[in-house]
Amino acid sequence: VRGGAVRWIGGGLAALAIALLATAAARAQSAGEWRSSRELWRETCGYCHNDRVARELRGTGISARLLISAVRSGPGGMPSFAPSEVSDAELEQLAEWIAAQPSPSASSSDRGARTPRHGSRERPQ
Amino acid sequence: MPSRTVLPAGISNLVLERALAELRRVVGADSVLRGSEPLLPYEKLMIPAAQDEFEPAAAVLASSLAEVQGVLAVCNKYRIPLWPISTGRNFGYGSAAPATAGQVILDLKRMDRILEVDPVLCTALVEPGVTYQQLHDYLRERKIDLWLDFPADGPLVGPVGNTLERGTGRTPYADHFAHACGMEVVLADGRVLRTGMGSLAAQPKSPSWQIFKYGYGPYLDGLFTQSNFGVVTKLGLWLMPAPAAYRTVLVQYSRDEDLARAVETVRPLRLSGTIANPCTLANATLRLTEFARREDLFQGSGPVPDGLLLAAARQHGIAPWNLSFSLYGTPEQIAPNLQIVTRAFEDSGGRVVLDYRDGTQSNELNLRAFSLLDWAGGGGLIWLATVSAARGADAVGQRDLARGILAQYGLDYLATETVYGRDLHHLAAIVFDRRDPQVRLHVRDCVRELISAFAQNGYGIERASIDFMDAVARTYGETRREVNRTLKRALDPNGILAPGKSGIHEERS
Repeated sequence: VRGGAVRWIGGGLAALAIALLATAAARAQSAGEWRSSRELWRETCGYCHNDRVARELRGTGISARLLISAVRSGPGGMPSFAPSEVSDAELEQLAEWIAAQPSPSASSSDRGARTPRHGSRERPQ
Repeated sequence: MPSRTVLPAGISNLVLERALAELRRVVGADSVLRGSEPLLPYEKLMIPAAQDEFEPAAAVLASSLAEVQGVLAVCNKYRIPLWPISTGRNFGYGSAAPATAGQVILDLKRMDRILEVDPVLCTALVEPGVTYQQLHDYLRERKIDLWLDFPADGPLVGPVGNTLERGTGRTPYADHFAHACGMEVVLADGRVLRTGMGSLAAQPKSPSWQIFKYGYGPYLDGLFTQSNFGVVTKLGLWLMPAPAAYRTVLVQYSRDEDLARAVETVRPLRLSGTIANPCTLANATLRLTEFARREDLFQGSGPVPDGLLLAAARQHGIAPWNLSFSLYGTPEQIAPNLQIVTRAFEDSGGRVVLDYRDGTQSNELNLRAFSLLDWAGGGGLIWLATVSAARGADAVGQRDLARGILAQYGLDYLATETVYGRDLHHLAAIVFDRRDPQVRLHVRDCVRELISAFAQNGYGIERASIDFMDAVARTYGETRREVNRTLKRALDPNGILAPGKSGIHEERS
């Protein structure tokens, strides 16, 4: 067998410890929790808007109004986001946060500079 | 508020307004959306249909089981059709849009509680609005060492919607419905059914609801997938204990004609359990979308010529067929299995690349799949999802059939062929510029022909977009459709739930 070491996953023993200690199942997370703009960026926008799938938005001077419109309508290949997922107030704050952010790096937003990606992309369903 | 012209079939504007007024009393005025702008997010399409073809009349945002029951009572009273969505992200199959224009979206995204995670028995109970991202964060924050299995758009979608559509992922728990256990379903008349062990009279709930699927009597859960017989408001999940280690392997086949040998090599390794997760063969064009757009390679009409395609693929280390899978377990378990699979794939002519990275096989969320939508520009995507036996000849048969018809329509062939076990799933992504109405019509003609040709060759469609649900239902014959209609009449006599879903239409009493 060629190649390097098997990829170990941290926490195998920790999981066992948790399982042994758990006297009751972990319960409940309340719905409708307010999320910060940074959190929304991390768990949604940032997956694509990183110059790999779609262009970076931070530091581009894009207006908050345009962002709000794009989030609701989903231009091109972008999904749309309903108010049940991102409330009007969250979206307004997020758009202002993005518009005010500096560029995260000096990397170009030119799609020609697209970085090769690794990993497969099968089955978006 | 501006009035929309789109109305439910057979319902006047006055009746709809009356119903919406009552719905506002159920869910709150701010949770009933009507008018062009508020409904925009529900109208976004990737499929080759015009945006107004599947316009909803309104959207109702429910936050609880009681609100869902209240909404159903009003809609039964006025016979308003409702299209339930969980996250509304059925990309390439219709997203959030209803199967017919004028339905009222029942948006369950706000029902997003993770009700229970049992780290000992490795189960969870979640509501429809929960996303894989949310569940992933929940487990990580609590240091619960369980893995999720998600589709390639995992961060944005959720286990309830994906399971109900019978979606799949890439780990050993890839068949999501097979790893679901127990549903809470609100029937059209407002009664609440808990399936499997969930109907036991134990309080507050049966302790084995998420443990044993079947309970007593007929096993009902399948009736509520790809159907319109109830609104699922809770779903039990089985989660995979994080393996001690894993190793993801890529096998590259340098010739298009190697596809059959690859499938013949994979099948016994899957059936014996040597490989525990589905083995996906991705073609060069699909893999290339990670690195390039079509216009970077070719500016002419018709499919990108093979020579250009393969030259670009070589530049990026992509082969005509790229097989990936993982081995999971302890290092001691992985080592001998790695020897077995390496030998088998090398003997079949494949080039084995160890330590390939694919987050969907190892609990890492990403959205890199979205660059697929950039291939042709214009954001158009419709899937052709078909099934055959896991035989080399059928893999080739499906490839040739799809590629031939797509080429006739001037479209590129981007596809995976995945061996789950005995079954092989062929998934072709038809990407196009949906800004051009002529292109949309052209793609629709192409999909219509694909559906017909695949069915005639015995390759059934296993999941269909809203614009082809009737066409696909017809390929399964009249008896199947009549049984569906009988169930629909029994469970939803007013036909208010998602008319047209999977080709099952309302038959109003």
